[in-house]
Amino acid sequence: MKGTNLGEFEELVLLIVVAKPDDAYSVAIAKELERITGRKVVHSVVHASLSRLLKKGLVDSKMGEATAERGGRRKRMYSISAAGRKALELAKSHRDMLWAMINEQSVAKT
Amino acid sequence: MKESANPPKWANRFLEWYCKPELLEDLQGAFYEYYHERITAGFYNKAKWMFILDVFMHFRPYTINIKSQNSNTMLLGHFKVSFRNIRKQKLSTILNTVGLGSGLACFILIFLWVNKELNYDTFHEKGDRIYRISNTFKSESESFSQAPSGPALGAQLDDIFSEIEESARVGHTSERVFVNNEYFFESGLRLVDHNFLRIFDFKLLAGNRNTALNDPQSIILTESLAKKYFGDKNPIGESLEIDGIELTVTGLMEVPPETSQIQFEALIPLMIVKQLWDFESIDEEWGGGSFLTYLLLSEGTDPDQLGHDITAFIGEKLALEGWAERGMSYEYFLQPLKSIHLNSNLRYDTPNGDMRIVLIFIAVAIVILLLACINYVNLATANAINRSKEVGIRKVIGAERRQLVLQYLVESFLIVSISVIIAISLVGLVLPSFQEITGYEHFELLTIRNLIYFLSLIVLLTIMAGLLPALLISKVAAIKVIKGNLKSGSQYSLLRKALVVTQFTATVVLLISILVMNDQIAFIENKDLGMKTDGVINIDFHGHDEVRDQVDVLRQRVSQLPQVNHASFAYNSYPVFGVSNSTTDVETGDGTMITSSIYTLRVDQDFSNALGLELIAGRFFSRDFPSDTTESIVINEACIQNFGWKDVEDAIGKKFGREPYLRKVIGVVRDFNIEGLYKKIEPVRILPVSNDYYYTSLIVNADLSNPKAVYDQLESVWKEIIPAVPFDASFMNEDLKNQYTIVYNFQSIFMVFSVISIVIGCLGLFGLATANTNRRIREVGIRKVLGASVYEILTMINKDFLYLIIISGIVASPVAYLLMEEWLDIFTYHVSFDWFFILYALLGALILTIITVSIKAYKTALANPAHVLKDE
Repeated sequence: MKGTNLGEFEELVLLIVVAKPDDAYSVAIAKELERITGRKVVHSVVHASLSRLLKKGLVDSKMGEATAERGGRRKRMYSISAAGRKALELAKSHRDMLWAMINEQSVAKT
Repeated sequence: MKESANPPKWANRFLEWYCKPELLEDLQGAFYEYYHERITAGFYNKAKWMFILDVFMHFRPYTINIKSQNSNTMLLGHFKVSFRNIRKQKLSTILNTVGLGSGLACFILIFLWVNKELNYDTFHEKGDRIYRISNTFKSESESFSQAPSGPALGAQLDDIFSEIEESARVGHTSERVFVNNEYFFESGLRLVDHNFLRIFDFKLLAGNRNTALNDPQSIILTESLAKKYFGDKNPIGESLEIDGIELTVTGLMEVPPETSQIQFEALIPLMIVKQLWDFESIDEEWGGGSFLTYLLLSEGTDPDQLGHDITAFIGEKLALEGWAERGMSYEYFLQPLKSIHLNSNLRYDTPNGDMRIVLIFIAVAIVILLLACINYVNLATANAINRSKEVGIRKVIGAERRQLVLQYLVESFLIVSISVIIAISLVGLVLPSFQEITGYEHFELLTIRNLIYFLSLIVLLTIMAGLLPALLISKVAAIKVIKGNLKSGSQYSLLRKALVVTQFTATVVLLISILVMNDQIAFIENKDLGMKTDGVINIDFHGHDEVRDQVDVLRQRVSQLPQVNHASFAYNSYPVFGVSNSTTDVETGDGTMITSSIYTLRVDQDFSNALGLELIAGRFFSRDFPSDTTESIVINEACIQNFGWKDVEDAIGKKFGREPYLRKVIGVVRDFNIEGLYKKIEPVRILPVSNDYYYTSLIVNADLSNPKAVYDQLESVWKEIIPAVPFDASFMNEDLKNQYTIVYNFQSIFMVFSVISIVIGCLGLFGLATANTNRRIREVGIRKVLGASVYEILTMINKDFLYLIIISGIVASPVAYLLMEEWLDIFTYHVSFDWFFILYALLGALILTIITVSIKAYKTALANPAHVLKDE
């Protein structure tokens, strides 16, 4: 296992899991990603990403309720784990630091 | 609708087979959710497609359920190694998949089309028992077969012969329909017997199958026509008028399937003709007639025997009317409904397909597939030398041959699968234009049945293309490889050469075919038809009385238009497709009168000028000779030989008909192709129309330097004089050309397929040349050191392929000749096979080869010999 590093895409997926806990299953996540990024998001990529997150222990999953359009099949609902939350916070702190540096520079320039 | 409510079963099963059980429910649910969403949005095809795509896209290591460690790991290993090999050999993978993929795309397209052509009229439940009764008419001077029979057959036969359960007639008619205060000309109307819908299973959407056609004043509309007349309103119970007779809509039908030989836009009970055409005796006429008669036979009837019985029975009836003593007779035969589309070529039939064209395309499809396979085999065996080390090592480590064969088959399977996916996407891409060219609107690409075919195609191709290389490569003895004394190069070269010859042969055949087709098409376009069709506009008024009342006014007004040269009224609409024939008495060369059936045109005095007919003897009808209308006749040149007259001059004064309607020939016109080049020129008699009430159309010969302006002027004159009849005009040139659409389309499809297969051939050649030059790279180096020039080296490498072309040419010529003779035979007037085409084609193949081979060889020849020879 390559440790618990978060890829950019994984980070987005994870953020959506946190942001929309009621709708955190693969199809809805793919659609939400598509809506936010404006890019075409393929289901297989999201599903693979989720399964990687699961393997890294960043999300937990349990089977949710069944719906008619899914032919009576249940969906796998994801929720963020403690490790996942930590990884997200870490990623955010890295970014904040970098942005702070950028802002200082631009202030100095002007 | 029901069927598409569920995603493709096989894809589902595949998913269930490979997916880990703990992931299955969620994944399958997700696919269903997408599927459901797309269906709801109305994208049926897309939903199906995407479902399949999803299933394959999720076929990934983390989803695959490894059931039994042993065999699956092994297979998985094979897949892994195959993937690596495919990635490693990028060039040959691309050549292989593109070649195979485009070849397969052609194959699939042809498959779709052939599938349509071969499945005409298969949707009738009782189809196996439905026959059409057609006949061969014989007279003293001729004999021809035609589709329509006398109307009495359809009316009476089922009562007379117990083996005929039902009989129904179908008549074509075009009428002016008056509905919602608007006039429409409709040519898709069919007059049918009341039991028509009991025999044929055309889909009725509203109305009663058994009673909808009972009242003569009723009409069943197809959806498209109903929409045109009544919009979205329910058409049942609405009324419309045909020629002043009011009809009530009693039914609504689906438009007949494309693969139906019987096409219509509306059905009208046949009995209406008693009012419409004053045809009271319709059920009593055994001869003549324009109706197609269909019979539903009871189980186990022998159609040939029945044909004989009917011939005998009707022969007696007609003998009573004096037919036998005039030497005329009918011989009836029964055609199975399903065979009519491809195997019937009769006069006065609806447009048909042609079995020969279907066969040519099947041959082309097989050739293309074969070419693509040969490519694969060629490239694979050419690479064998690189792989032999791998095979040797594997064998030393302990691989069995069986495993090696499996390994290579898996590799082929992967490449074939990729190719099939490429092919299906290509087909999806070009399908819209293919539909336009073939005239079929609905091709079903992704039906369950087709997908099964495609899967079996993958398996078949894997075996066809993959087995031979697999067996050859795995044969290598390990010891030879390890010792390093494997003779490089010459392995399997005979096999490869044989394959290349096959490929070249196909290429040369296709090149020759293209040349012949272009030649024939140029011939069609430039053939002198014996009449002047440029600048002729035909205004068809379908014989409406409003026009007939105004013939003189119209003639005068139209002639006055500055660009108009001549205006002529005629009984037919020009060009005439299906000139009617009738029987008459004719004076032969030795002075006796015989009875003959002859094509008849009824026209006015301006006709020969309007169509630019050339008089080779005598004169045409003239207003200066009022007696022309009752005493004169003009004939074409073909009559002279047919009736045994001496020459053109001898024809003048010959007698036609019998007292009191005797006419004498006053003029002979040069032969003209009134129907285009499919039909042979036959004897034609031209009669003057005695009464304005026979005219159905107006032929205008005009200076068409500005066709739009002339057309508009004619239209405005027309609208002013006869507003109640729609202006239905067309350019004769275009109409004539339109009948060749099928030929043009055939040629363009054939052209595209040929180019693709030639490209495939070149790809294979390129791959082969690459392998070949790589093998000889050191030889080339040494030759260069010893002083060979680049030109000499190119010649050396090309030489290998040149004599293969010569052999191909020898094999290809007779094949191309036979194939093209068959195709040319479709045309009554055609070019002869030009042997020079073989030369051209060979030259073309030669140039292609040299270019293809040299691309690679040139690079090798330029290389610095020091680099090549260094590592020895």
